[in-house]
Amino acid sequence: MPAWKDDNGEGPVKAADAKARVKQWWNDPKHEVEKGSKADAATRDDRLDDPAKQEPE
Amino acid sequence: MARYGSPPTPQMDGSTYQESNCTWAATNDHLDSATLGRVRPGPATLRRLSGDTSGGSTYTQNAEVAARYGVVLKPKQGLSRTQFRDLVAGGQRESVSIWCKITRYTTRRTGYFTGFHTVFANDYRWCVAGGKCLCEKLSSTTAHAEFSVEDPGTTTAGYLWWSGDLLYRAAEARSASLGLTGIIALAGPDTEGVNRVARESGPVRAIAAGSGAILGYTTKGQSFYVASTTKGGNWDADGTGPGTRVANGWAKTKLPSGQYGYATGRTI
Repeated sequence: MPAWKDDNGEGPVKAADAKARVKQWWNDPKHEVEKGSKADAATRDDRLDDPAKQEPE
Repeated sequence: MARYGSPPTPQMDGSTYQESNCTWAATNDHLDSATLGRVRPGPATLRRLSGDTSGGSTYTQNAEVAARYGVVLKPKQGLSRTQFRDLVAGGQRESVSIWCKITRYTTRRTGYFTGFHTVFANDYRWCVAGGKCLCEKLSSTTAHAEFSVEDPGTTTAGYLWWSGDLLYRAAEARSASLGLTGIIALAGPDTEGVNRVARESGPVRAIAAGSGAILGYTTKGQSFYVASTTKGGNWDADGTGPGTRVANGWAKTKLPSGQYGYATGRTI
């Protein structure tokens, strides 16, 4: 099992090892974001101007 | 030496869509970081180029505008914690969509905001047990991951180290709010441990400063191995002489002789 399947994001990492793992999945379609998809449209809501999302001091 | 990172970009810059410009501020960080300071148009300019006047923007819009500056950004979704970490640890940087309700009651909060937001992750480090903790945990009893993060909504704080745990949870909560899993991010180009084509012929110096002895020269159009990036002495970012904008990003560059030196973002 590739190390990245451990999937906890922890641990000391050598840059070369990290790069090698990234190459394994970089072009995997399941990680691609299609224009207009739910994941793409989502960041339209990444904004600080929603009063409902501001707590009073 | 620490990885070069863009000077923090404030989204609250007085421009029309400032509250909605977190993604553009993070993209400005991407452009600056990828070019070692040479390209820094600012969030308002990036938004104008997108033509979007609807408020918040998408990562694909950000990628399209970044491409105009020759910088390739790739929107990604469904990233596991290890995949997200590997991107940053391997030499890339990421904008990442988070839910601020997770960070609200931590020292990494975006004021009193509890909604959705984008922040910029520039670097990764591993805090060993008993080592120096730099994140909000303020404890190294347990070894843990840390990311250097710039929050465009709290720019005056500069880059702060966030625990991996906090950043992962905030990002995963954002995806979960959409019924998705993993992490949504906008990944920048790999800038360390890679070959880069020299933009100009220019000096490669012994130290990352204009006063450094010249070890050799880059040749325009020729590929050079860049081991790492770092902040150093100022150089003229616009190439138009004294009094113009300066930048301070340098690339640790391998010369054909095998010797390493430092080249500016104008050169490579």
